Amino acid sequence: MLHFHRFQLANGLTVIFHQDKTTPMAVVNTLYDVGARDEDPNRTGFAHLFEHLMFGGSVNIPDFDSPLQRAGGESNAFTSNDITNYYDVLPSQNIETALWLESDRMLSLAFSEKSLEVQRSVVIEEFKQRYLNQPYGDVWLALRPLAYKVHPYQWATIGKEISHIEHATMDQVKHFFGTYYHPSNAILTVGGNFENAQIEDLVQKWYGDIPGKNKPARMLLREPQQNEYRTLSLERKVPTPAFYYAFKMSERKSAGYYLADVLSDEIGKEKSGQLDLQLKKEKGLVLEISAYILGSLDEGLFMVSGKLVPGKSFEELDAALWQVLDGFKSNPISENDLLRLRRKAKTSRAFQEQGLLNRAMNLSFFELLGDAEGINQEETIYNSIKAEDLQSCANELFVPSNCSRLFIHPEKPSHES
Amino acid sequence: MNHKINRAEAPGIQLESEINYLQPERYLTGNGIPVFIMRNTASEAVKIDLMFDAGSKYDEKPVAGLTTEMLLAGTSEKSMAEINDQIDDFGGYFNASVSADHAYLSIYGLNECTVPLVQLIEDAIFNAVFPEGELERMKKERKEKLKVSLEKVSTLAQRQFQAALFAGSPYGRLNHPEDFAEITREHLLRFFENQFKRGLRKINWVGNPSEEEIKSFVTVFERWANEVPEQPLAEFQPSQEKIALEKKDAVQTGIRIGKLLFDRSHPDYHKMTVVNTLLGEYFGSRLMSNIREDKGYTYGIGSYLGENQSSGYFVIATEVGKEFLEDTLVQINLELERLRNEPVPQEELDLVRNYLLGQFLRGADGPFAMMELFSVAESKGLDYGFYQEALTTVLKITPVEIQSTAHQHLNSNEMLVVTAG
Repeated sequence: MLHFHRFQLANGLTVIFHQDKTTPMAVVNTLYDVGARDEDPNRTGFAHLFEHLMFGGSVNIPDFDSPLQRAGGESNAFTSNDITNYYDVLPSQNIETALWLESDRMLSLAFSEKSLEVQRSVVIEEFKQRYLNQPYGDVWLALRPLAYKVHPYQWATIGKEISHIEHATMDQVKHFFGTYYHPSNAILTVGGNFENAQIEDLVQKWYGDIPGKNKPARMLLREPQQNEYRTLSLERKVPTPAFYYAFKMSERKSAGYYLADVLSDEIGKEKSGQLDLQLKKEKGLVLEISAYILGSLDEGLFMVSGKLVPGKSFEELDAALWQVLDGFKSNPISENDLLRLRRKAKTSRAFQEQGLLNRAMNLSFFELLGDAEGINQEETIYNSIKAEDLQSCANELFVPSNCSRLFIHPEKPSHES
Repeated sequence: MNHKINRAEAPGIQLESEINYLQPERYLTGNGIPVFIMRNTASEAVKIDLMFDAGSKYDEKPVAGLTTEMLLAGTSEKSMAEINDQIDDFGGYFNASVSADHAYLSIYGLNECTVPLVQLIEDAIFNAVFPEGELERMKKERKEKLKVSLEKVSTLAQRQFQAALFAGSPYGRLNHPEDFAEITREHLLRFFENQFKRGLRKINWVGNPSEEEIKSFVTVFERWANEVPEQPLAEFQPSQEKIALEKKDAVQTGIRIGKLLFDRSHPDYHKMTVVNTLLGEYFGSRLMSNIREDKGYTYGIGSYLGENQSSGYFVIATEVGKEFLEDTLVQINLELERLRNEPVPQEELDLVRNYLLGQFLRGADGPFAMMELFSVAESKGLDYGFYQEALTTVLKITPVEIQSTAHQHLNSNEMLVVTAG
């Protein structure tokens, strides 16, 4: 049970304070309700590039990191298709340093040309390092547009292509900041050994004078119902054939999300799950296989992916994989398996709750979903799931017309003449 | 009472240099294997680490990794799936890993069923048979994983660096995809007998057990021993050459630059920690400021003090756009020379001092972190005094000491330079 104290400033900033008397550290987590799904299709990768620029100095403070490091702290951030999340961890007596820095960059950035130029280059190197210069690195660049035809989940947070990052201008940066970076589009979570009144005063002090704006309306195109089995095969310079099956699944706020989450745990169990037992052990078709969900806010993807044993055919794999999935459609999982999933979930919750940063991020995220209190209701939701619910979830998910499939074939060695 | 705040002025800061290092409770199994218990009273979460003298240095072939990964792959009574289902019955998780010196089995669970979970796992590993079928699958999997990994410039550079730095010693041995074919079940069984059954070095337990639970836990491991002799490291000659590996079509080049140094038992270790932090260990470091934040050549660059049981090393690691390779090497050299030839400005030193104090505080936060601190020191024959000394050094070190430490230990002419791309 996570306790928290929530309040709102007049300018629209939502604040959550989570008390933890056991730690000498404080966490300041700021979630901005903007992600890659909010980007213009011709300027993708912008939310993530912008995240880099947030460290390039704000209106009153030339450099974000140095003062934080001087206070014994450190900071990082991540961008997803849905959100951009910044966090600072520092000794609790220096919490004001983090509030000072974070509030100043919410007030306004410095918009330095040098920072834009350098971070464009850094992000291009990140694009190369993580997506181009890695075996299988460009899989998501190919799979997303296969699975999504209309919804902006069709591009990855890094962007569709390097040129979109190269062409980012300062005007676009300023416009993006003005639209998305202000109090009513943010959720601030503070964690540490403080009292409610203390945090209320400090947040009012540092954030109270930031002008409020209206929260931007989000009008995303809804992904139309998929009606065909989408398949794509690519040749890449990789040693091992790989496969990716992406099934459309329910959005984050629906009951179906929880079912798909549990179903993926059951199906993907390493060493005792059906995929592992049948495709790896019995049929010797795969080197590795796993099932997981992407956890997106809008209609998401339930993934089954892995590597094929070289020499085995994709056709054989395809038939065998569908057979395993069909098994989950026709038979409910056993009560014993359900019980095991619950027990494992209990352990992993105990570990997730170990870290203050984790708790602060989760509180922000649940507040974004509608209510931070939701974090305390998850256990009940998961424990109420029955085997037949999972079976009907499997029946909705595992149909070819709900699936996008990507095969990566190793490139044949070219013979020089 | 809304006073106008001055945003241009940083709030005051204070730094704590007092850290309360908690001693774990210590017990012995019947065979004299130490069991260290760190109390976790705030949560039900339990973590148990078994550390074995079963690292990759003990065999010429990649047997250590395969054996470690197959510890829970079946006994004559139970299949791998049955063992995994039974672990699931307790809500347990496990993770096996291996380094050059040690193999580790980590068990995660809750206080309510620690002892039965551990009994189950102990029985499964003590009676492990390393089934032929599982081994063949595992060999294939490892071989293909290695082949994939060899497509990365970071892996290529790292491997070549390690091979050249530790040339002629077990730490410099590399696995190749073709090495897996010749490994048999007998290799694993022998390795298991010699290194695991006789090499349970220690057990770390973060949790909140009762006296009764401790008693039965300690008896569970009575049939294991702790008698693998120390393996003295034979003389070897680290290389200081420049090695350039070519990888066609790579759009980035992996770089590793470094040298053999010393481990944490050396008197200069704490000073080197400060030097290394300044150079490349935090986001505002000189390497990051110059090569990422000023020039945009890379997504990240860092320097590290690494160590194994018998020695330590220093390494700078990055991947840069291949058109930036040449200037990156020039800039790295410049930064090394600057540290060696110029005193660190007081303001920069103050920042790094504070940053490190914050890191120490964070590294000691909570029972899991505290256990880790204790265990790392204990493995080297040290105690918490090591961390107190680190704190003292960080608080007292002067620009002159930093410069002379860098001058002595970071001569770029003594460094091995590996690039891959």
